[in-house]
Amino acid sequence: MDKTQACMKRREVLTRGIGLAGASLLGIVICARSNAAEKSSKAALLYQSHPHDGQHCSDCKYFTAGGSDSNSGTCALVEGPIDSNGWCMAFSRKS
Amino acid sequence: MRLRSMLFAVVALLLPATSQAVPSFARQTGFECVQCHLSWPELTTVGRQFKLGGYTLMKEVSGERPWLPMPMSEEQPRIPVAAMLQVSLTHTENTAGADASEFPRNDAAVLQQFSFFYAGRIVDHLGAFAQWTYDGVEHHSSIDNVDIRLAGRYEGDGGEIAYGLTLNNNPTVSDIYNTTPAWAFPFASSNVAVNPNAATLIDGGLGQQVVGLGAYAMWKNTLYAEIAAYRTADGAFSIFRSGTDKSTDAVLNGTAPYWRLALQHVWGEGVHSAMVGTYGIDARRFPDSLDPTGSTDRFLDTGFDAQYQYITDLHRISAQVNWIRERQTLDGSFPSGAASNPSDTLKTFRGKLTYYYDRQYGGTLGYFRTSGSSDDALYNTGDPVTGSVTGSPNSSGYIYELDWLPRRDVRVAAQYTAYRRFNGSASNYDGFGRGARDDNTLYLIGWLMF
Repeated sequence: MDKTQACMKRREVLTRGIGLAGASLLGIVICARSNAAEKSSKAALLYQSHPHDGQHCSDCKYFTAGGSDSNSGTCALVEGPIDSNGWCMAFSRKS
Repeated sequence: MRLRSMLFAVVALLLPATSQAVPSFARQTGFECVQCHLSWPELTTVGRQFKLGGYTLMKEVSGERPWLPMPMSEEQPRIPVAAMLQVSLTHTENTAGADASEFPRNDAAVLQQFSFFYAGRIVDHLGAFAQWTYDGVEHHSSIDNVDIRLAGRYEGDGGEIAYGLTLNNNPTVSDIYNTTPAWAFPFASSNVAVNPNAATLIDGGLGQQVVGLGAYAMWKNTLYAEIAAYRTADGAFSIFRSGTDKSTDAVLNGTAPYWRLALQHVWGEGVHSAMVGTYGIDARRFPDSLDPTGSTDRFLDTGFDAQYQYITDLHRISAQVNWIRERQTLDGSFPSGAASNPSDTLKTFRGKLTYYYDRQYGGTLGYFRTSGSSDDALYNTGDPVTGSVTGSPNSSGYIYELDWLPRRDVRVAAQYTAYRRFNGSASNYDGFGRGARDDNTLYLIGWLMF
């Protein structure tokens, strides 16, 4: 390969690289606009309806209570109704 | 005295980092590092689930998300970026009489590695772990591990199945256990110390040189299976080996199948977990990467591994073992004299036991052993330090490591590697009078994630 060919090859690789990086960046920026949470299933995080070692959902930072007369609420990480007395492996005590 | 002052310098350098700075996975989920990691990068059950889910698990958004990580923002950034810095010092036991080029930067503090990550959810069900690394010794940057995942979940009468696709550039980087080579102990090691010559192909021999598409599934949190096909990362896929040395990168003939099967059990409300498994790859590699024609060398690697973890807030214990047996059929290298035998066998064993107290203070004892057919052309460079006068690949030894995590994103570690045998022998292994113990290495590292 002579010098001119090598130079053209480098330019081609550089152009393709920049094009690919630009397209990837554009795709990432478009995708990143989505705000929807992607939650875990209960089974994946070993959710149970009773506490573990003194830890229960009502003390967890991800839990939101459903109402004053209900033990049920929702979780920012786990899908479905959540028992305030329950527990899963994502438990994180409220600070 | 000099080593101690260097360690203090490393610690002092790392302490001013802002405490709000956490890696992108933690920012995305709100998790503490220790929920996904026994001690990073070793995964817990939660960490394995996060990886199975394609790095996409994300907590609910309650406010405006910044585009990039902001120290004062409670919300996860839209672009999941993170970085890593490693500063280290290596002391090799005996360098007297050896060529200085064999031990570059010995006893000197070096910026070992700086990495930039795009790591987290891209869009629903699609996520990535992509790393670009600058090597502070070679003064060169290139692509590192990449694992792009598309994940889903099926819930039926037979139980839950977590499944997905992975596009990656290193066989075993997609694995969810810390037994297989890409994510096995030691999690950091010196890049200036001398290492034994022999290693199986799956043990780093294809990383950042190939690209593979795989499909995986976990059934009822019990049975994990993965199959993949790897090929040379050329043409449109050359981005997966950007910045690497094309003259030494592996060039494969066709596709190389990779398989993984593991049986796991989690019990005691997540306190205990255990796994036994097998994995392997069947690859045909051209001996000369610059002239990928003619006959190839076939590497059939089969691994067996097992892992146990005990995790509570105060005490964390983990144990891993991994055997790999490699059958080399050297139809490409033997006729040209690049191998002394038409076929060889290479076997490796690695095991380690780790204990962490209060998620902050840890210790690990590791053992490694490589053994196999003697092959002078393959394993003897003929040079002092790196040679093997017997042509034997046999090496073994222990790794002792102490870790301290003053903060969740900072690790300070001291690691000592003690060789019992190096490149075939305990003494005079290179034919120039060097003993295995001369290669014993003390390695101090300060490791910061942000």
